Amino acid sequence: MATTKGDERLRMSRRSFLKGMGVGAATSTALATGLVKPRAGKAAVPPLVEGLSYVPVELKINGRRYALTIEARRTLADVLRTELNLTGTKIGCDRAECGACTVIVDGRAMYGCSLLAVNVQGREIETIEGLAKNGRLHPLQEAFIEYDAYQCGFCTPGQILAGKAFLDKKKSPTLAEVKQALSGNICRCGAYHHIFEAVLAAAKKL
Amino acid sequence: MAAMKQIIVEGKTYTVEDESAALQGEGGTMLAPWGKNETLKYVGKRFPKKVAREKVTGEAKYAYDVQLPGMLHARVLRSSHANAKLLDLETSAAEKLPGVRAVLSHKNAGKQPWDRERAVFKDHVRLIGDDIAAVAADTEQIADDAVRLIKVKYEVLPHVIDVREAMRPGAPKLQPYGNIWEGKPKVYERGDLAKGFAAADVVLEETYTTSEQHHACLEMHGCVAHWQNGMLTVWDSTQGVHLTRDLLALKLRLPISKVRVLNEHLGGGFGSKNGVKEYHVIAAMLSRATGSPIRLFLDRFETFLLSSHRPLTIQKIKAGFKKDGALTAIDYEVIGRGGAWNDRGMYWAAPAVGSPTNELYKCPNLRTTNIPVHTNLSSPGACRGPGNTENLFALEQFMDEAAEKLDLDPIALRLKNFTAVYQPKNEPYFSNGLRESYEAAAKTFGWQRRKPKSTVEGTKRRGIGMSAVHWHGFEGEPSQALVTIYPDGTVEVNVGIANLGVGAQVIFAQIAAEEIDVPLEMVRVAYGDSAGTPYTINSSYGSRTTFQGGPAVRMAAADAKQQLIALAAETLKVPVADVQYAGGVFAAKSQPEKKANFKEVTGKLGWMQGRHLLIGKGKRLPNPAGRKVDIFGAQMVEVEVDTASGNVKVLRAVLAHDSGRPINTLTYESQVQGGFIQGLGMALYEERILDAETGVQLNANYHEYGCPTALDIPDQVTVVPIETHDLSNNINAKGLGEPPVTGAGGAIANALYNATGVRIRDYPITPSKVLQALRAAV
Ligand code: FES
Ligand code: FES
Repeated sequence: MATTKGDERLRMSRRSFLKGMGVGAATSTALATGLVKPRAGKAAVPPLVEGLSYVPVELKINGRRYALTIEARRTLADVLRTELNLTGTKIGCDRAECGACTVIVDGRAMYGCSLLAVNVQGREIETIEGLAKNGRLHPLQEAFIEYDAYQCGFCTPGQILAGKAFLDKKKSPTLAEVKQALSGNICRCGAYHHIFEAVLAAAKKL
Repeated sequence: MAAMKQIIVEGKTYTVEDESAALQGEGGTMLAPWGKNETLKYVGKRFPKKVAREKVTGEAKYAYDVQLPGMLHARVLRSSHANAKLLDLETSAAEKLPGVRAVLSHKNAGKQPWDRERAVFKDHVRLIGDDIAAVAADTEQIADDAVRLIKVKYEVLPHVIDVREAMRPGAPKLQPYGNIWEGKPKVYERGDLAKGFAAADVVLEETYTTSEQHHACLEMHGCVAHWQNGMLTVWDSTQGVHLTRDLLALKLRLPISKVRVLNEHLGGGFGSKNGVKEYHVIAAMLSRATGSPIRLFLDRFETFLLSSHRPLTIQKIKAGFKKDGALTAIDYEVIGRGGAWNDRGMYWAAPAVGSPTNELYKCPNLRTTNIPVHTNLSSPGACRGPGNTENLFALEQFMDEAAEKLDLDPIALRLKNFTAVYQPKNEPYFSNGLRESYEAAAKTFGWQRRKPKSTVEGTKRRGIGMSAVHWHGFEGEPSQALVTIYPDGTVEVNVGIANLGVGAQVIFAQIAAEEIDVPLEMVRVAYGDSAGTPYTINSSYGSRTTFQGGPAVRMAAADAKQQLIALAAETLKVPVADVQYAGGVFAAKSQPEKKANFKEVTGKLGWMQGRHLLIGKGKRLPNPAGRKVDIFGAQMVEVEVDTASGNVKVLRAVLAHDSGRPINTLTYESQVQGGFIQGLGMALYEERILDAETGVQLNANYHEYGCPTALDIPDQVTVVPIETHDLSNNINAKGLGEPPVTGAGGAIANALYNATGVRIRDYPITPSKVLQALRAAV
């Protein structure tokens, strides 16, 4: 008979147990060796917590200061979204693979799902909500609309911020450089060509 | 009964319904399709999407972003065996964890059925990932912790993952009728197969396989549900608010009027977010149990494992040709891997595959055999261009192989077998832009008869390839729309659709602006709420949104305009028949000096004038009888193959698509490019790699799964709209969303062959397969 705790076995990345065979489960299956897939932001504490550890955190986001008390294991993306209702930062994978959570930290585009909120205190954090100034869109935002550089738009905040961090440093980029700069941001709708056009057009206006 | 007429197609006479009479609307409004050369102000132009600003500022609220006061977070415990009975389920530790508000399982919620054969919470699981229990807690992290505290004792039963193994006698039997869906293959036949093969000069037979492509929508699957005072409200990541609402009402036995589904923005669907899944019902049940709103989203791993995928198919094509290329017979068989349960996924597994084989080429003698097979896996589902994509990836490579064997140009072979008639029902097409697509694509691309291995440079080889594109259109469905005109002259189109992001809102606005002749910025589109919208489409699948909804919007706009003309007649104090309207000005024909502009007339509306708003109602009528709608196109690519690494890079692509009248040429381009990129992904990279023993997906993450990134796509993708004048509906539209995926595989595989002389018949065409084939070829 096989006993598992939660969905541990389900989350193994490689098969490391025997296949259960036969009605009545004559053979038992070995289980405890299975790897629990690391889940970003939840790895800071073991999965079975005794008590929750809350910590005070101060964040500087889009030029404003926020003081919060949160669980230490929570990621920046999660805190932005859940505590501050800044839901323009999306989560597509929660493990540094898709770029939906891209934010700018001290001028660099980074994956917000893979930063712990406690670790980015005192740094300048820019999210998509801070880009338009006094109701005026940033040239990248305007270009994204004009060139139809999105379909569903779920990757768009991340694409725009990756593009901004890049254009802040690079004047008159080539197409190849734009592609490289955005290669960490998946667009499942495949809006890439219009995204490239938009970034190149915005570069001319900046 | 509308008038019938006779038309001659390919030398034969067909009796069909006359389109002008058939398109007469309710209340006598006549709306014949726009004329071929009619000058249109808004339709056929480039306009950015209507719902735009919030997408680029981060203000757009997806279901994923919805946060309500007191909202709880849910996670689901899923089975870790592919076939097992639950002997024991211990939830007390989870229940005791601080912050946990509810735990549901078959023990306390066993009566809630999912479908005719299973409950929402299973006590006999048939696949890894089946729902066992669910937790609602104060935070997602606590819910996650709680799920890990639930203990399950299983009695493990035999299971089967491999599709061939599942077909063997003695394999674990997953359904009472066996492992082939409903007991036997489904067969479609016409003509005389034996006679057809006997008449052939050349017979060719090849087998192709396609992989399990996953939708991999950036927004994961899930919803926020709130059950309050007997009313269920769901913010859902869905392709259709009406379908989700209707199915939730059915599953939960609620009156339809007590379920409301909202979708303002959707972060990708591609066929995977139509209707409801267990998580919808679980969220609703947890909300009923706790009295709080519940947020339940799958994580990325669960999404890959459970949200559905394109089926794995094994397709055998055998065809006979005359020396001149004319097809004499096709014998086609598709085995498709289905899931464990007897659900709609079994239809997508194989029966849905094969329509291009049946329809695209003229062939009098044909047999199609569909074999959907149960395995202990999650069910496949509709994935952008379902069926046609899998089939064309095989068929279009097969046609290239046949052209080679017959020593014909691939386009010449296809033209030789062109048909303007839908063969399964012997009905002519309303329109067929396939020839024009070949011509335009060839011209733009610079297509010429190819010599294999023509361009060589170091270890790099270049080659070109092409594929036809085919997608089935639909019958006209009963779609409805409303158009309201306000006293200030602004116009609101009200439609029951979700927001997939392809631009249906701007398209509907363009249609209304065209019909009423008002500036586009005056038109707003209300959508996304099942409670406040008419039934425009149940869900946006099948590339039907513009095709079904657009004609209803035009009809509603025409109705509103008619009412406005009546109001103008009153204002001008002339008979209605005397009013003419153009460019925002109403004038009396008899006395041209009597005039009123748009706002002067709409100013007569509203409560201050003692008048109601002006609401135009529109309904889409069936397509005129006797003809068929299908969608065509042609795709051409150039690839560069590195014979040292096996890497295939697409250098450029030309995509010519016939979708009737293009309504918005900007969003048109986005759709076609995006679709092609998904096809490119399926051709070269994407595949759910499963553990052969358990069926657990080993690459259930973006990094290893391989969606195309900015670096994987060609620099140059040229979209060539092919406008056909389609008379099936009043806006001449046919649909566009899905066809662009379908041609990528054939075109890329054929270009690979042209570059290297090797064929990969097993998608995706990974570097290791290419290297292996190159080695075998020397
Ligand atoms: S959510 Fe952070 S990279 Fe995907
Ligand atoms: S626009 Fe949908 S993922 Fe990029």
